Amino acid sequence: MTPRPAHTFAALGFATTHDALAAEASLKAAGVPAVPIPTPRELGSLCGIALRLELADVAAAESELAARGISWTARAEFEDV
Amino acid sequence: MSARTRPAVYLDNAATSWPKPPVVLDAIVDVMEHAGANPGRGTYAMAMAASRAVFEARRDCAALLGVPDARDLLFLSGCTEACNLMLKGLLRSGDRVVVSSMEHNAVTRPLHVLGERGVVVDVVQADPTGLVDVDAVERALAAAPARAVVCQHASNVTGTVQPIGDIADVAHAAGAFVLVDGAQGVGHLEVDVAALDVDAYACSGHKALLGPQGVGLLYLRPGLDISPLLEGGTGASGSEEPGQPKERPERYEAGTPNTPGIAGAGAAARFIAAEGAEIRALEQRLARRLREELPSIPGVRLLGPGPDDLAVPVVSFVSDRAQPDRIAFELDRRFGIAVRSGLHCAPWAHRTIGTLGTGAVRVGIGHGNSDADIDTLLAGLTEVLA
Repeated sequence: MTPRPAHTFAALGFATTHDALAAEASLKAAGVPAVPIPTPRELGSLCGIALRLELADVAAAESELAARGISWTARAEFEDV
Repeated sequence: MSARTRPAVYLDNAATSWPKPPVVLDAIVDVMEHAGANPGRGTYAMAMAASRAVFEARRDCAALLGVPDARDLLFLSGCTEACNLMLKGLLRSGDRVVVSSMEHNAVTRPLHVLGERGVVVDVVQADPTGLVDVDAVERALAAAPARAVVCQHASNVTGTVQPIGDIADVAHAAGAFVLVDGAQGVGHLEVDVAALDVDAYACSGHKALLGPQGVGLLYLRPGLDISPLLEGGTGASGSEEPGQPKERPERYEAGTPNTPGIAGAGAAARFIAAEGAEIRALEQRLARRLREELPSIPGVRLLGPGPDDLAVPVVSFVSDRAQPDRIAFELDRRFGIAVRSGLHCAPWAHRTIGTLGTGAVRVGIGHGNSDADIDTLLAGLTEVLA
């Protein structure tokens, strides 16, 4: 079995489901790809919805969310399993 | 269920609106079929569909109500829970509250309990049409410090529309919060909570908003940190913490929400946003006609506002020829007309207008009514009272 190439992604955590959904809608409208994922513990909680981003999209995503007044609680980078 | 249970003329919309717009029914069924997971509790496709249904409903209900930030609009089980939350969450022993004499039991009963816990409840008497005098509220506020003024937006008995904006002005000038029971307001009236400048506004989802039963909404002004009624799971970040999260809306929405009902409320909000002006014009025209023509039936006395007064389409009357319960029964038995007799869960209001001992017959007009319905009611009532 050929191992998958390592892939690093970023994830943003949110205080509420509403904030996560607002962020998802905002990024979709802005054309920034974001995938909802279960919140990884590195973001400070084991519950809730986080958004997975390609590293190349992080700056655009955070800029868009800041412009919309949507707060995220944490950002971290992860290796795909 | 059977078509035989459907009244020929449904005029009990003040209790709950019927029929619901097809888009509301479609939204409920769609969620149950395709978004039946628990919102906020997962990121697989169906859970996200459920989460988005709640998110979009909150966004669209907030837009309808003039709520600037949708996170300040809570989904609860009904307007009764919303009233309980805003009252019990804010008021503490030693607080004084000024309340109108027209309130529904959804307000008066929580205040009764709070009174037993040491909250001082002072009642401002409305006039015989049910209208609250702003000067009387101001005088009550001048008599002693008050934590809050509590007032309905519109009466579920007389249809009287209260001057909420003016009440908010005098309350805030006196340092009091303004808590509004908007059960009969939303849908019948264009409501903009930011323009009204209120601190809390409780809404029913299933009355003139035209959503399903089992959903209510509560707007809380940003920064107004009241205590939750319930604690429990929210699915969101912070599950490790022992206490309820501080962030809205989760702080006040413990437990699995009524996702189908919330989706129905969202669809209803979109429907009202599109059709509300036309619906309100129809309801106002029919209510005005009823208020004009009811007094011409021998023995009938119209309660509350006259045809030219500002009111929601809730019209009550009594007769010197028959008790309200007999009138309601005969209208149903002979003509299939559904109206509501009794005290309408509002004994304070009936005491105010002088009908506590008898109750009244209430006609609740809604978006599904027509001139033909009013014709049928007036003809049937004339025959019942002949």
